[in-house]
Amino acid sequence: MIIKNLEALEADLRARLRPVYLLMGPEELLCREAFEMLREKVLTPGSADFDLSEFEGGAATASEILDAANTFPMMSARRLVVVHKAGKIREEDQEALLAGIETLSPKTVLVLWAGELDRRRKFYRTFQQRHCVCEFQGLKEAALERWAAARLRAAGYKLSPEGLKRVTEMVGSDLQTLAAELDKLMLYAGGAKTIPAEAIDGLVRSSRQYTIFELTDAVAARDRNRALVLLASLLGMGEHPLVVVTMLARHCRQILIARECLAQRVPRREIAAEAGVPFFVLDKFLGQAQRAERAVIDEMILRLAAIDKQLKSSALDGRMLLEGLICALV
Amino acid sequence: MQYQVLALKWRPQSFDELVGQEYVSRTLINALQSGRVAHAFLFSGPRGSGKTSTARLLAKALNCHEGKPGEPCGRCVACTEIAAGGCMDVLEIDAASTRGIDDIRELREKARYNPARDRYKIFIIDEVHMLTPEAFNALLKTLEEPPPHVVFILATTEYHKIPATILSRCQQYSFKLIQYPLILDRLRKIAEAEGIRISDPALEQVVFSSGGSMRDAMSALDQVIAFSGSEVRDEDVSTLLGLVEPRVLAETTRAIAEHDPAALFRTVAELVEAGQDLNNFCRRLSGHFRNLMILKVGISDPALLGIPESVLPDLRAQAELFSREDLLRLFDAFQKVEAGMKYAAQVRFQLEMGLVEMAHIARLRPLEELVAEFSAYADDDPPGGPGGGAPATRVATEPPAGQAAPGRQGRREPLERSPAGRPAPQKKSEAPASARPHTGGNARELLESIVAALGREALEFLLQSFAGARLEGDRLILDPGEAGEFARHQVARNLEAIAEAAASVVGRKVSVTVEGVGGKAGRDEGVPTPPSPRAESSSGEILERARREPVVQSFLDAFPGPVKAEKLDE
Repeated sequence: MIIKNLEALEADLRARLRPVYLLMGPEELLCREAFEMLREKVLTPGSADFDLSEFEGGAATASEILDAANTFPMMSARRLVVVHKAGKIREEDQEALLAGIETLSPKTVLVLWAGELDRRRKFYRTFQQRHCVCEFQGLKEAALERWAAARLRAAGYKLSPEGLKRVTEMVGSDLQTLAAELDKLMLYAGGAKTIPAEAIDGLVRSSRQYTIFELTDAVAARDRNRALVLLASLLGMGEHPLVVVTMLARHCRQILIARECLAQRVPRREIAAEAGVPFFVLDKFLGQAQRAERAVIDEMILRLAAIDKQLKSSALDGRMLLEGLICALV
Repeated sequence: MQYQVLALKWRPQSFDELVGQEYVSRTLINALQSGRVAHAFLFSGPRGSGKTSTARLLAKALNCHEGKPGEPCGRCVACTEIAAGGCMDVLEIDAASTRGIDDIRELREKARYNPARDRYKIFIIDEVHMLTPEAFNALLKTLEEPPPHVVFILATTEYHKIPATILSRCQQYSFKLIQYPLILDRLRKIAEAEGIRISDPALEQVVFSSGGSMRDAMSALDQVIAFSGSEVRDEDVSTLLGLVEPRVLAETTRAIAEHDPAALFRTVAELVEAGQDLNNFCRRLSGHFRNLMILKVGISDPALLGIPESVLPDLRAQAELFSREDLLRLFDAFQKVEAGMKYAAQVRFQLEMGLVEMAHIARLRPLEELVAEFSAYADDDPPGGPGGGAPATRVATEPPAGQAAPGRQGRREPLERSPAGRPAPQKKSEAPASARPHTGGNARELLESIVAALGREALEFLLQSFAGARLEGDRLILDPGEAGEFARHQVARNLEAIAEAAASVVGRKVSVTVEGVGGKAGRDEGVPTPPSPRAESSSGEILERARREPVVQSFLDAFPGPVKAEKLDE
């Protein structure tokens, strides 16, 4: 059985508690929240010191894990045994673990926690066929905004749809970072419960990629003032000019790849993969790729190469060089 | 009592005194008041933006015995000890010197024990990006689930060097550079409290030399006070901070604008006499031109310019002396000079030559200006202008110069379109050189007029690289100068279009040749060429011209031998 979101897991837990769970997927925050749900369901408060055993795959052997799993709980109705980094469990231990699970104590819940597992192997397939796999993939676009809105709502806070969109665009799809930024916004709002839009720009740390995207967007739109202000804000946050040069060159390369893909009518999803662009900014990115003038991109790459060389071989001021680039291009 | 530098003496003691980071302070105060304090913080931002001060304030607010939540009292034993840097429950670690795995293991050991007196055991790790990868890994687990009595505050100027695993475990706050007016206000208050008499322009110089860092501004003020005492003279500030007087920058700028190398030599000599660092002067001058460029592109935000508002009008006037293109080229030239000075044995000569070169950089006219001129040119064309001169673009298809165009008088001619589809420039009746048939006086001017009349972007670009053009009777001879082979041959292939444009400029039909490019491509095939006394009449003459060709000369250098004409193509 495969569960793909927390709501489904919650519903399943209300119905029954299974003996074995496999938590996996790239979205660590959701895995963590799923584990917290399991922990809450299995252990009575204050019993973790007695009834929770934690192991690390690769470091612990199957017999150690199974010994713990077959020990009776002391304070709770069930014992909770967790194996972190389950993907690192050695092959011989995987076999032993699979055999041991068949005769697992009914007073134990075993949780294996892995980032990623080879889905072709018997280890994964057994869990998928006979136990419960909770797989949490990264959220995209609207799902990301919905998740953020739900998180704010649960805490009693409100943010406008535009604000939500802006926050998710700025932060990206990493839920842990997004959650931390939302927490900050909620703290800023305090008792007001409505998060002011201006707090987003003042408080949310936008991903470097997003700011570079905004910067190149301003260059493409020939908005010189905005481009210079964005550059100043990037450097003002402590970014080294060389990092900015590298990110700008990377962005130009992505634009060229995207243009080529668009010309060959490559599907959008594949363009995102080819160009290495996060899916949540793909629409904006493709718009930029279509608008961008080839000559401007070419010139930008040449000038960036020159600036890169100057930064590495002279004491010239990086900020001035980058400002010169923007003034020359826009 | 021992002297304490201003940056330490005036370190903010409450969140109200924290300047320029209102979003951060309000969020932290709310977190403290609501009791939702994270167990790990990461403060990142440029130096002097208030990271360490905020970390200490947070430590005080967490451990204060008497104050309200979010408002450390500043009087209790915890507050005074933290302010003095001697609190045993607040450990301030410099990761630049304490950066190994053993240091972090020791830190983890200390974290296990309860605080000795206060509520929390707080670890402030400054410059955390300096930790080794192993030390970061050792810190991970403790950072993820620290004991409930422990709070970590990490501070860094290099955010991008922090591993993602650490970042995701911390509540992150970005500190931004502090706005100049806020630093100015703070320094003014400090100067007043310290009994220092300093003028606002001098204080502005101190502030704008700091680049938005409060600590740098305070250190600069300290330096000035140490030199001048309680009475600070304006000129002392410039000298001490290594600033170049705005007057010198303005004079240099004007000398460059007015192509006056003598003034530039004099300025450099004065600087050398005054013992000024020429590298510093070059850096400041290039920064000055950067400001002119920023102003020229339409931005006058003092924060972005990094200059006081009071100098804006003068700077604007200086920016008006140049076009945007000029400023870009001068800016590039400055970068070359600055880079060259790094390796020069004689910095002075390098600077002088660089400045003279800049003074000789030809001025480019902005495209917008040219477009506006052409538009005005078209609009102003009065019906039957003086002399009833034929419109420039019509010359090639209408009777030659001297004969009035029939039917022209009394009505406005529509703009004729060039082959590229854009409006071809018409003659402006009252306009000087460019409107009247060109007499061919100035070679470069003539070439530029032809370029302007061309209407083919690629060809315009190539022809721009030529040195000039001259008229010899009905022949227009293009001088390639230093133009590349490609440009020469592409131009030679498009002589017909050039002849058409040239006719519109000079007011009569002309044949066009490219100097140094012989043969078929070198002459305009489409326009009748009148017999010329200089026409190649014999194979000997053609051979002689061929020998002068750079390509042929290169061949002759490599393979010396006789040149023999196998086939002479007319």
